[in-house]
Amino acid sequence: MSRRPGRAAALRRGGQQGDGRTWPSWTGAARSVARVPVLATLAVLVVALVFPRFEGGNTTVMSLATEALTYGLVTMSLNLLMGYGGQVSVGQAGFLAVGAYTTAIVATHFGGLPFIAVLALAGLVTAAVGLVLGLPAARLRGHYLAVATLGFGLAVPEIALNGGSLTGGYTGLIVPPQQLGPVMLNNPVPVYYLGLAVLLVSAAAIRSVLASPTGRRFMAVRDSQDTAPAMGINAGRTKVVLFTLSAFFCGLAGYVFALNNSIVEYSSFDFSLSLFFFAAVIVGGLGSMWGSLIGAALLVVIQQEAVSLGGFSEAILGVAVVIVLLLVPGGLASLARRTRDAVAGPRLPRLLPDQRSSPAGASREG
Amino acid sequence: MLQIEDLSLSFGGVHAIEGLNLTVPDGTITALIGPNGAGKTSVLNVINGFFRPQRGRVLHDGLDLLSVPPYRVIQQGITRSFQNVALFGGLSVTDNLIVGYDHRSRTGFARDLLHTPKVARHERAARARAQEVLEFLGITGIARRRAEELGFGERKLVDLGRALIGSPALVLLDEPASGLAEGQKAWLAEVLSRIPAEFGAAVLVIDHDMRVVMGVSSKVIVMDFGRKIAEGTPDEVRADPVVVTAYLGGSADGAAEGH
Amino acid sequence: MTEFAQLVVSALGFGGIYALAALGLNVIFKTSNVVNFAFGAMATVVALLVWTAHTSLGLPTAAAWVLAIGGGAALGGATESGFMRRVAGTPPIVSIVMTIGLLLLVEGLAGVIWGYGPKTVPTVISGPSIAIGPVSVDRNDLFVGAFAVAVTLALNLFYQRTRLGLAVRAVAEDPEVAALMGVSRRWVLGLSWAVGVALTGVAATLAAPAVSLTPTMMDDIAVFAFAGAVLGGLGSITGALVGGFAVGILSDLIAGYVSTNLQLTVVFALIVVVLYLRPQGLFGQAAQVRQ
Repeated sequence: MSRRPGRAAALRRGGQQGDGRTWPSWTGAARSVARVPVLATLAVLVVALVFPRFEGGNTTVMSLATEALTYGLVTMSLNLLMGYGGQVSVGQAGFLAVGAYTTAIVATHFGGLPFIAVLALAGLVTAAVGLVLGLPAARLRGHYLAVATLGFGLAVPEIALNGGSLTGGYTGLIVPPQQLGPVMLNNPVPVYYLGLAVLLVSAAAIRSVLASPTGRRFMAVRDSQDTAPAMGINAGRTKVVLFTLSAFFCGLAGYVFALNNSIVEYSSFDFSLSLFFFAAVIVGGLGSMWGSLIGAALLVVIQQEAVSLGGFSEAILGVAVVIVLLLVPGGLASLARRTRDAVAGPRLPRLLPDQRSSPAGASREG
Repeated sequence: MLQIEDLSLSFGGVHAIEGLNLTVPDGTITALIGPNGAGKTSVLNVINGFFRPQRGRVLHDGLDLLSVPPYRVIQQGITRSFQNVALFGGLSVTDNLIVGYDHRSRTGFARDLLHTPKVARHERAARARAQEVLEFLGITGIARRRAEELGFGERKLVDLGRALIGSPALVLLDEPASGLAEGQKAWLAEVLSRIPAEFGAAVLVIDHDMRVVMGVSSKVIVMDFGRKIAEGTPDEVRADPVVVTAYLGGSADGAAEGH
Repeated sequence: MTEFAQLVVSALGFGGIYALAALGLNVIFKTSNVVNFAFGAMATVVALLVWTAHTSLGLPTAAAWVLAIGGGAALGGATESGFMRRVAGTPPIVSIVMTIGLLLLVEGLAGVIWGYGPKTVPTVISGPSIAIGPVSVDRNDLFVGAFAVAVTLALNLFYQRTRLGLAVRAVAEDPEVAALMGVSRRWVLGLSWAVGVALTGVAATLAAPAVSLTPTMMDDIAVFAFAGAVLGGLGSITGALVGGFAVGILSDLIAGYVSTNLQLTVVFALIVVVLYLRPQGLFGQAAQVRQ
């Protein structure tokens, strides 16, 4: 096969512009998987691992940190659904609730099960719920899908409230402490490390999916659902798989959530929590996994200050969403990227910042 | 070989296709031309499975394509490009191409989650293949660009590449030259002419601009108002008075400029 | 049977409120193809304005209402020109995010300005219940229900029979025709948003006496209104009325026969089933769903 660089360049110069802006350009970063900035990741990882040495004694801080990890996994699962899959969901707290309640119920009634089995069940049961929701959801788009997920997010806590002795009804369920080998998981520090492990493994799995045919199918359906079948993609099935996976990871987060709070009650999973997750994903940066984590951390901070700030906390989040939408598509994650570009020097124009240096990637301009 | 027998498609009262008979022999380039609204794109949409005809048969190597759901058509070795170039905007050029190759992977989402060796092998093969296609089209420089950032001409080529990467048996091209400048059209025609040799694929190309397709096709079929009005070699068709009349009157070349 | 009838009849009040709120939602969707997720919070602001005008400033009820509805209209118009216009022509997800951002913003600010303590607003009509056969109807409920029907009829008349109404429909369905008719798209969008928010605001103010007036008052009501609007078909005026009342009656029946705590679940299940079988709702247009 021969190359024709001259002709190719001519092609690039001429021709009219293509069709209008599409969904991904608004999200700014929802492209194929970017290379994670290695140094930054290692730095954050080291901090995360070493952190309990300094704050291990402070239960509140440790618990907050684990909460941040939990929220981080939820926002990552929502990012998978919305950013990479293009499906709107305003009810993600519903999946978190299913995972948390499954954990509490299984731990209560099947006390002998190893913790890994309970964790797996939390994920799998929630995945099953995701599948059931995904089947009708796959037929809906845009606003109709948003309303359907809204209804889901509201229905789950209500069902929990009416679950009688199984779900503890109004008072909720106490989560019996789990055991990880010799370690009892009722201490904030081991729970933190477990949460960190779950988050890291999940993040790796999500990245793995995104760089595989399944992940590309998600993004293809997101970008051009009607032409995807010509590439062999069954759009409906792809969306159901998407919902199932997103729910699975959210269910895992529910397990950590249950351990961290020791009690699972229906009122923790109300609509405003779903709203907050939604806002966190947007503000952090839709389509960016780092963005999801940033958004989750921001959310934890805001929630903590909510008591003193009152209505301001909600308003601040609302303003952040609107600002991101109008001025900073790509959220905080894109700001970080721009800062790095500004500091490290300008990149080649119009090329993705994740350009790997390899023979194949070398540009052949002109 | 693609065989279309007595195909008829209508929407409401509009007869998009009427009694069409058409064959595309293996390894050849067949052009389907005609004025706007002649029903050409509808033919592709029927082959693809997007529309179901009221009457007729579509066979590919003996298999009844009409019984196949749209997302399985590619497994029969049939791919297509689109007139409005529906690339996957958020994906890079390379990934757009790879989507055209992904139907070959035999991994489900479970294995994809774990990134098993099978998945890794597929990824490697896909990237290598994408590189080959990029070289064939002469656009290796834009491999990492996001699809929506591309210029129009580049998009058209990526769309074409996406249809070629899976080594199809039949490529359906919908107005590949529309919107391109003159120099680009010549380049496109050259690329088209090399497809059967490089990929072993037959081509069914639609365009209402005769100059692009005439030079590369071995057979030309002319449609108007949903019916086939002429068929033959490019020279035969160019001289056919019926064809000339169908296009605005005057010479066939003059008619092409009118569009 | 009497109990059934009574339950249905007492749903008139809330059914009417859901219908009115759904009408507000659909008026906006009809022209701009946007679901205003912030409509509950904006409506609450209108109700709070009534309270401020009436209780704080001591204005007579009628004046308070007029002021508040005017405020609601202004809020709607400002939202359209200040925010929604900037995201016109983008995929649905963008406007969803925008209105959700506005929901957080408006609800948060309402909490800051008015605080979270419950406030009281008088009902529009007071007096003893009316007896119709074996069932008794609350006067206010009857008024609300009748009002909802009247508004629906008026809107339908407007859209179908007046030149301006035709122009408004044109803006949504055929922008070229609208331009030919000399109708400014911007103006029509602003008007639709103003009317939509004002209508939902009326619904909120009518609901305020029954539910305590707080910034989050409309959260639950908004969900039922959504359900009604989606059930009836987004963008359909008649659909909003039918859907709103259907949801009202259904939730009342569930509360009466099953449990007050399962209303949302059943209503949600109903929406999902309806959308699965008929994605555009009862009266909606199929085109809207295929975004």
